[in-house]
Amino acid sequence: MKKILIIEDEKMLGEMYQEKFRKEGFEAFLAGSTEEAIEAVPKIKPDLILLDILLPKKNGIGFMEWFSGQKEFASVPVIAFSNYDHPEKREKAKKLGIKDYLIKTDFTPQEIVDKVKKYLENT
Amino acid sequence: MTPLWEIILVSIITLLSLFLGFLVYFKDRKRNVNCYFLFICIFTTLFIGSAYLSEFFPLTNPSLAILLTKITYGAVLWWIIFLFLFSLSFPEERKISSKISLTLFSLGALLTILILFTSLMVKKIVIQPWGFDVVYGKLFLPFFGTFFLVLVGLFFFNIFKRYKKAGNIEKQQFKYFFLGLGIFIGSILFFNSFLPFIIGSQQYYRLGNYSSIFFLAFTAYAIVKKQLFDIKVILTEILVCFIVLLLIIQTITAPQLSFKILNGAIFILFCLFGYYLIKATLREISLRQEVERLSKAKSEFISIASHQLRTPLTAIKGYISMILEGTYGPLPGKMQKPMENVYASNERLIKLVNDLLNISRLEAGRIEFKWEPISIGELIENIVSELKINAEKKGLYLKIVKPKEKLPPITADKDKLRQVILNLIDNAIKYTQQGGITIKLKIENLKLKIAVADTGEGMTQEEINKLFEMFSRASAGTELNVSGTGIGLYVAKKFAEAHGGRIWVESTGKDKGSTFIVELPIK
Repeated sequence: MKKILIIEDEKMLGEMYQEKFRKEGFEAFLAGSTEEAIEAVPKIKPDLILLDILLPKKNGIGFMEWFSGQKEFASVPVIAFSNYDHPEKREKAKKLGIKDYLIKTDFTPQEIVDKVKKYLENT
Repeated sequence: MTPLWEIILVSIITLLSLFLGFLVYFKDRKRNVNCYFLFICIFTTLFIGSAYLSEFFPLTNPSLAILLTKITYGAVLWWIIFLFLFSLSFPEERKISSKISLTLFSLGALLTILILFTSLMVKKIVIQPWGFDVVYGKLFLPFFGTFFLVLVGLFFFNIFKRYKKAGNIEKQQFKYFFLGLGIFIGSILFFNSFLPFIIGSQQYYRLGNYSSIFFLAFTAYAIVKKQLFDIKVILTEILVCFIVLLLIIQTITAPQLSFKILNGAIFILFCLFGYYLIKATLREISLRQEVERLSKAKSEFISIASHQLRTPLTAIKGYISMILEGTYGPLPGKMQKPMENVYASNERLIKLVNDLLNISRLEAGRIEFKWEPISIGELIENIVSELKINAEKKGLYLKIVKPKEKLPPITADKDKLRQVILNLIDNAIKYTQQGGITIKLKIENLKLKIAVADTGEGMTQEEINKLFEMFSRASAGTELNVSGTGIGLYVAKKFAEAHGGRIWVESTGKDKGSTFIVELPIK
């Protein structure tokens, strides 16, 4: 069973995506902040990470600055999914290695699951 | 006797170096990078000046020539120390550890003492027909050489490390810096190393030193470039002062009293003019900076506001889609339609937020385009397959007519172009009650034309004239109770223009249908 780590500070949205991924046969974990995610990644060893950008304290870019230095997880794809559409943040996130930058309102949970499945097929 | 051109060149370079140093320093005295740059300029002036002056004395006063040579090397030593410190602070300020500063300054002081007061670094000079060659002491290479090379190595390491992490604006500053540095290093290597090796003499080494002005000029520009508008004030002030100076000289040297009075009056009038000119320039700069600041703040606000609006819309979209997909079990039949209506309404709200965000970015000039070759045929087929259901629900046909020749790929932003065409076809479906929509693709005069023709409501010339304005809709919009805010066509027009193309509409009148045409260059 593939493991997905969802880094999302909005509890309602996080639980919605977690529920959807579980129904689709994934082991879905939730982290509400960058700090929680940094603790969770070595324990869970996810196959893919869904990362919100606007997070409390250290944002998604801060997580990517840490994650890009973790050689052990170099092959784990990170997909940014956020409603914060700022060109500079997008550019910075891509430089730090995110595979895609999705705007949440553009996709239903099913469409996000389909995208995740495609990324996992290619890795 | 040195040639006149060299006297003039040295004077210009030394004055310009000091001018650049103080210009940058007074721009922002609190920034360390500005202070380090001033010291780099001061030591540049010192090593160029002392190297030049040393050429006057080898025959008449060899001790003075040796002293000036030692001062040159001392200045070079402090030049590289401040250059290294500069590399730790450029372009964005960073605190330097006091241990590093103390170590550097201590070593620098020790080496300076060895250079100036002993012959362990600079031993003697050997007179040559063109001037003199320097004979180095036994500690020159191991101490001075090593210290110099280590700092140069660290300088380049720091600079390239910071360049890699730099944002777009900082990268621009670095480019100017590298250009000046490249010219300087190239000249130093050629005149100070390569040429002496080939001709066996250090005769032309000073020409390498003089190229430092390129490095200083480009670096000064890189430091102040972020606040480039301030340069306008400085240049305006310089110009005004220069003309005032000329007018004073003219007044004083005028042959007759009447000319003195006339020139004096012109001088006073010009002083008044100069004062108001500088004041107006300062006001213009201040306004521009305020506009820049507000524009950036507005862009940030819009991004945050749209994020806050989108968050609840995401939850509604997500949960309703999951309910409709049967994630929570089968949906009672009578709930299907209401749920679909809620989903569709939510999609309208999402589109409205997206359109408002696009408009805000377009107006601020902050929208970014991702240019790539795309297959327009494939793009339109995807859009048609997406909207076919909507057309079929109204009993309308939706067809594509392609030319016989193969359509070439065009360079476009796929997402933005998709938005334009989707908007046109979606509108055509909304405003057509019977018949259907035909999308024709044609190549004409090296341009691709995408015509979306419908058999719908049509519009008057008056409506056509206002159609692409913000919040404008044809009367059919309200008559048919069609949803829409009038933003879509405004955004479509801006996107089409950004692609180097244009968009327009043709209609022969009410109830006679409309044809929206997008014309794009093939590149």
